[in-house]
Amino acid sequence: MIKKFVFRFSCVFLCFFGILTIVLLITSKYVNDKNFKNSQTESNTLIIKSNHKYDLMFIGISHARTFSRWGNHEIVEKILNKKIINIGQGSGICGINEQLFYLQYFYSNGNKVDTIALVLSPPMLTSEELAIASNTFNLEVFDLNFLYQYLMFDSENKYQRIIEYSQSKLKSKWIHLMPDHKIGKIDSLIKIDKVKVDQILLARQKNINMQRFKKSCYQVEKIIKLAERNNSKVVFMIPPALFGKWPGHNQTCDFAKKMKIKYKINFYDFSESVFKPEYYSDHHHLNTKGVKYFTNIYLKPVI
Amino acid sequence: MFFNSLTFAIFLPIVFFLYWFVFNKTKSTQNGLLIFASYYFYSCWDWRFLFLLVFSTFLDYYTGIQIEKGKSENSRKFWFWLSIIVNLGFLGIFKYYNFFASSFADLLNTVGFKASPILLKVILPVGISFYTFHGLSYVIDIYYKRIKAECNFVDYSLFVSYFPLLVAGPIERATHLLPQVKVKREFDYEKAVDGLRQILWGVFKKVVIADNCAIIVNMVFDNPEQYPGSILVLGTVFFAFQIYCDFSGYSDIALGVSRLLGIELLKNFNYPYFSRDIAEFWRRWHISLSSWFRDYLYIPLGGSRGSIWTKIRNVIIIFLVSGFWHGANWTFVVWGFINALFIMPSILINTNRDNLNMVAEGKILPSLKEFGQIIWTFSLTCFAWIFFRAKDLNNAFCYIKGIFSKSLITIPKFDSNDMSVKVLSILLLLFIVTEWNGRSKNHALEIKGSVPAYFKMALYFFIFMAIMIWGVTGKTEFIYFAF
Repeated sequence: MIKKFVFRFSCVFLCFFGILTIVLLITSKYVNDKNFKNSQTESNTLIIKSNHKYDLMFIGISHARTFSRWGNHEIVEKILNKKIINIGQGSGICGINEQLFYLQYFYSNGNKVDTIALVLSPPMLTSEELAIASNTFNLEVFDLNFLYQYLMFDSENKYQRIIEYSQSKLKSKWIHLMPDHKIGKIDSLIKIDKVKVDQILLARQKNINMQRFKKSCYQVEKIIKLAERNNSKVVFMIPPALFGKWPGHNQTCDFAKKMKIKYKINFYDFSESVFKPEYYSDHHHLNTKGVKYFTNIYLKPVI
Repeated sequence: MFFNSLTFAIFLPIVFFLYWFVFNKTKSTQNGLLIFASYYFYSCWDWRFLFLLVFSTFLDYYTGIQIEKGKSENSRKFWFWLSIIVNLGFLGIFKYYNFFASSFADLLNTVGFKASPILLKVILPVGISFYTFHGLSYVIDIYYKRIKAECNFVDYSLFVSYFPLLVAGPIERATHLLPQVKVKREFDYEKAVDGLRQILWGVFKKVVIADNCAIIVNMVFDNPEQYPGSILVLGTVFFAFQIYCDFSGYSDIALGVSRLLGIELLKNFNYPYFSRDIAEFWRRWHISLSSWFRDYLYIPLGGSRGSIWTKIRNVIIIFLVSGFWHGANWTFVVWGFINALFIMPSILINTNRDNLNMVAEGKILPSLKEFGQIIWTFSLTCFAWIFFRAKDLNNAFCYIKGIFSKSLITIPKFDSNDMSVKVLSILLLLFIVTEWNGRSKNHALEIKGSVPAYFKMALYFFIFMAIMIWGVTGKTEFIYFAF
């Protein structure tokens, strides 16, 4: 009787999960067929194709993604005259380790890139929340290859992330996902709000976790090694912020300088490069005007 | 390790496989495996408290034997009180010490003395209220010669630490569980299949209903002053379903898991929200705890016999203790007291046993009178739940004040993004219909008689997909783990 029970249960279990997998694949294909551009989505799997070659890649958190959001992608491509892919992840859903995974997935699909601009925002290296956020893949296509690679990948909170990844494909938010055709982030700050800046910096200062920083540094080094193996050049840059330096800035700089010597990579500290409020949509994110200005003045000469 | 976690989803099949395929030769091997699995399960919370569990097990095992062996009444009394004092002592230190120390200091400060309490920085060992009550009932039953002391330490350990009931009950009795662990279990196909159904239903209740209700409940109870009375009322109703689905969902999973292993546990919930009066509600809510208090506290105090004042005293005592058992906070005490007030009239006029059968037995719908009684009882229960959920008495009074305001007659509008309140309401309605339909069964998904296989599969698949689509999958604890 027990063998019959195990057999029947296994059949039902496999059948249910089989149907579920098919549903997830169908909803993913439906969304994928909408042909998103890099500037129209925050998803990476919707834009990482196979066997493509790029001149430049941005990796990082929201400060990296800003170079593509709101149609900025095409603007930056035009200024730099390069074919660009941006796999930076904003909205506080992705830490450096999952960035490493995205890069690994990018290469595994036969893609190539000449230069990787790793936007080293200090909060990305020191924040605990980003490293364990479980909604990292909610905007990613359900793909068995992606899932398998991630199962094999060493990560924290991996299984919760996988559960939410699968679950998100059944939500109407995913099915109704459309390319974001918004062009240009035009709202800008008029002046620096001291109170708000203090709040941001204080909150960041409180959340600095040096153990996390050490782990993040190790993962950044892994990114460099992975890039080296795939003949990509890595460039580090600390992004500009209206208030200049983030808490954790000095440690980030020290680490970047070490990497510069060890791996002979270029490192640029742009934290105090742009101080005009009109170039920002908030205190640390450039708006479209700011992206144009920054790319022209600071990025173009070094990339 | 939560029942609704991936770790448990891996742990259970491993235990099941080992239990029925490797360690299935004798009762001793089966029990040995279950003890090992139970200790592993418990150590996943905090391995340090495993020593407390083992000590408590050994104490009750040893004192049980000594009570039975005791030649003089004094010797029996000594071992009996030793067990009671040590068990309640642990519970007192871990669960109530800080409450009493700070309440006493507050009292001294109120009358003009300056006092700052010495508080312990200890966390509450998970399940301590449950396994302590297991042990207590065992020792009390031996003392009153209702049962024989168990001589096999392995069997007794399994009775106390059996993992499906270890952290949140049901609170088992030695007379019910011990005879089952003393014989080799044989696999029963029908029981195992029904166990799986019960697990599925329990998971649905927990992750779909309870955890989604929790999002709204937390939002409303955290800042009651920001919401109109109509939303506060809905918040209370959602909490009523949250706590029911959370705890009865846990119990369903525990019972289902245990049935997979060939052991029947006590039914803990019997569709309490279909009760027609408060007395009936308390016969159907957390049955294992209510019957524990009835047998070991209420009846020894005299129960409903004696003068009116004795009856009143006994009812108040049992509900205050029950409230206090749930947590060291005045809110629980008030919750218990309110329930005592609700049930008092029926005790005094002897109508508390009027509704012993299930409502509308053999009928599809209740009569208008029964429906009215159900709604009235549910409303009273919801009112009492406000105190149970509130973080302190001020919060509770502020909540009640908010309800009884002009804003009570407004259309409630929620702005919760996690899950549409409309979707949750529809799921809640489906849940109530399923529970109503299954109210004469052991659990709502129990299938009696021949039902077409395709219908069963469709039902299971619908619940499975509901869990996948709407289930809250983060690390959400069961409410009763805190008690």
